[in-house]
Amino acid sequence: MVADEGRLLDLLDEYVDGRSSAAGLAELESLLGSSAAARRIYWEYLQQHAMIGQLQQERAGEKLAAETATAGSYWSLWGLAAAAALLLAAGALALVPGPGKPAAVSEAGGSVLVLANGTRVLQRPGSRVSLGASEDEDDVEQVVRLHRGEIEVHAAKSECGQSSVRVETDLGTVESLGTVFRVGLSAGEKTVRERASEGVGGKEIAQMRAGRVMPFAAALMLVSVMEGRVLVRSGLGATEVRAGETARVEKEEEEKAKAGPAVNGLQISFSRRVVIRKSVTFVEKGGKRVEVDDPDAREYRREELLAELKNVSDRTIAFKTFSKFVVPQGEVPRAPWVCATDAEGNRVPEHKRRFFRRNRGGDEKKAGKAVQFSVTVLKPGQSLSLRCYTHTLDFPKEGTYKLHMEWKLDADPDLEAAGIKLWSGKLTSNTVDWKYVAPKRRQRPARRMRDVNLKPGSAKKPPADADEAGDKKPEAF
Amino acid sequence: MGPFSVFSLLSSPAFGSYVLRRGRLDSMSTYEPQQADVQKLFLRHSSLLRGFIVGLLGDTSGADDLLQEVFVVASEKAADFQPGSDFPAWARAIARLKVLEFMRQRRGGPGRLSPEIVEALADSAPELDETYEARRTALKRCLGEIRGRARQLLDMRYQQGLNPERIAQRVSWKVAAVNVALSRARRFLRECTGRRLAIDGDS
Repeated sequence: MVADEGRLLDLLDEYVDGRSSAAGLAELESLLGSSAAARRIYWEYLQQHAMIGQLQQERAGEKLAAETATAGSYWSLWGLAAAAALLLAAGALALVPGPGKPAAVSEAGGSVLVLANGTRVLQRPGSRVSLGASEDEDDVEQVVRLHRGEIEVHAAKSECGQSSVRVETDLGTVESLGTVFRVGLSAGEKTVRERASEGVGGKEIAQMRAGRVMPFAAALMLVSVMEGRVLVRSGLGATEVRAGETARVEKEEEEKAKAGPAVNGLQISFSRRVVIRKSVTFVEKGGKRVEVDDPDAREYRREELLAELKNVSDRTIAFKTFSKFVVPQGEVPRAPWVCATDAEGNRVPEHKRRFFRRNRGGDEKKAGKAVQFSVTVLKPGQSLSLRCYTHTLDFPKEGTYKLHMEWKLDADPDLEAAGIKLWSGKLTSNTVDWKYVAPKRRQRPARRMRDVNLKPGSAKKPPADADEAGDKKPEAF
Repeated sequence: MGPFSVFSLLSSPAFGSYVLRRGRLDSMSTYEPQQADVQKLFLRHSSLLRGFIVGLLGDTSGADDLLQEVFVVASEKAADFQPGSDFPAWARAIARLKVLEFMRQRRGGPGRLSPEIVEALADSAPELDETYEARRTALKRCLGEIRGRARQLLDMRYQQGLNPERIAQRVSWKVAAVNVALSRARRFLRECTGRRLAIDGDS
């Protein structure tokens, strides 16, 4: 039992709203530290706090979906949708993709696609989508391929663990589990500007305005989630985007991967991408949601280095999967590594760089355990993308460096004697420019005398992070 | 040749994660679970995990970022998960370490519980898995009972993520009045949820 449950709830209210005073926090810590019942109430209260947020987001989405469903004539066909595999509303085509048939394509702007599972796809003017069979049909019910423009997806409720719809683009995919979201592709401002400077942009833009079909190279994918959440996958990996958030996947034209030379059927390419994630605030105006400027909106920008191993041959290739373990024993090959040269073309000595996380996998080595190696198999055309930990890039000084990847695998006579033929050779990738800016160290403000309260018994508690931040290493994963 | 997994790639010092393109990566192994399976399980239990993280952080704003980090780690560690074992417990162990790492780095700012207390809370985290859905359903129904200004305040606090000061500006109230109203709404929801769970339990 907690002596004063009401007081505990007051303290918890202050805590979850971020308005705890030092005395209140100390009282709360004292209660939580001494009473199991207080900790139980804490958990109930905080779980409720988390749940309310989720339920509120769901409710907003349900309301929006209900409004959308009754808003226009598009949705009056909704009742008929169940009978049709796919239906395009007024002004658009009726598309019914079947087994073995080519993917249906729609360039009609402002039309609504109703997919077999009830998912509705609203095409914005100028957009181009196609519907095709999923390569991975177990994981997703419907696949929509967005070639250009923007679509708004009202995903149907899906079975547990299965995505009801996946939107595929050149820059990545978006999977949903019963949500409402938008996906847009654009050439990107930078691309347009650069093309213009090359003397071809003006012509292209004029042709676009004239309504002619132009080859389209997507440079930016924008995903806005209005309800629920989606999983955005790109060459960088997967990230979850929630209601009210927008994810951007950018591709810079000049950073397009140009692979290095193929060796024994394998090729390695190296590229750089920019990912921006930001929060977006909507307000309801006249029953519709409108995006508003929010001074508190946060935006995270991250540059990523991406490597891709690709089988460019017409045969299946197998190679030892690289691992951090047992490298000293020579049983598992070293992973591809990054090499750098500075502006003068001098190779940066490896010992002065720390590109990636430190190897923390020493337990097996110490214990002397035998570790089995792995084999990865790539069929013709398949590729394997690998993301580098760019936040650990470290150079002797700031500047622009040229990076490339190298990977070498020696033939294994023992395996070959056993009839197992694995790939061997040395791969070198293309180079990528990388601007290194030394991370800013957080400086502790100088203590001034007037900040120190010298009254007896009123010594200020030192900043909470003074001891904790120190040199302690985070838990290893 | 013994069992092997393409997921050992994830543990390489050079790379944090990998993705596959143009179909599944084939392997000579039948090693389970697949990374995709773990990701599916993660999505299925993400609400529960998020609640756990919020509980330890006491703050919803950083919880999503941490949840994402836990997702990445869980994906990387997919090969360590034993199929058929308790996934929420496995994922919670990862989340716990992530939160404690976060607390040590003090990215949460001032006004947060000390890491020692958070650790004690993590140790005493109840197994809410079985009752989670029932609690959620009950809370949803109770939320439906809140109307008017209280509902509007809850929307602003939880849907738009505004703090009490900003809510007070928007509704032209004093901050203290907003705090009281939010506190009452939460108490009501707590009592209402408890009542409903008791009724459902009896029936």
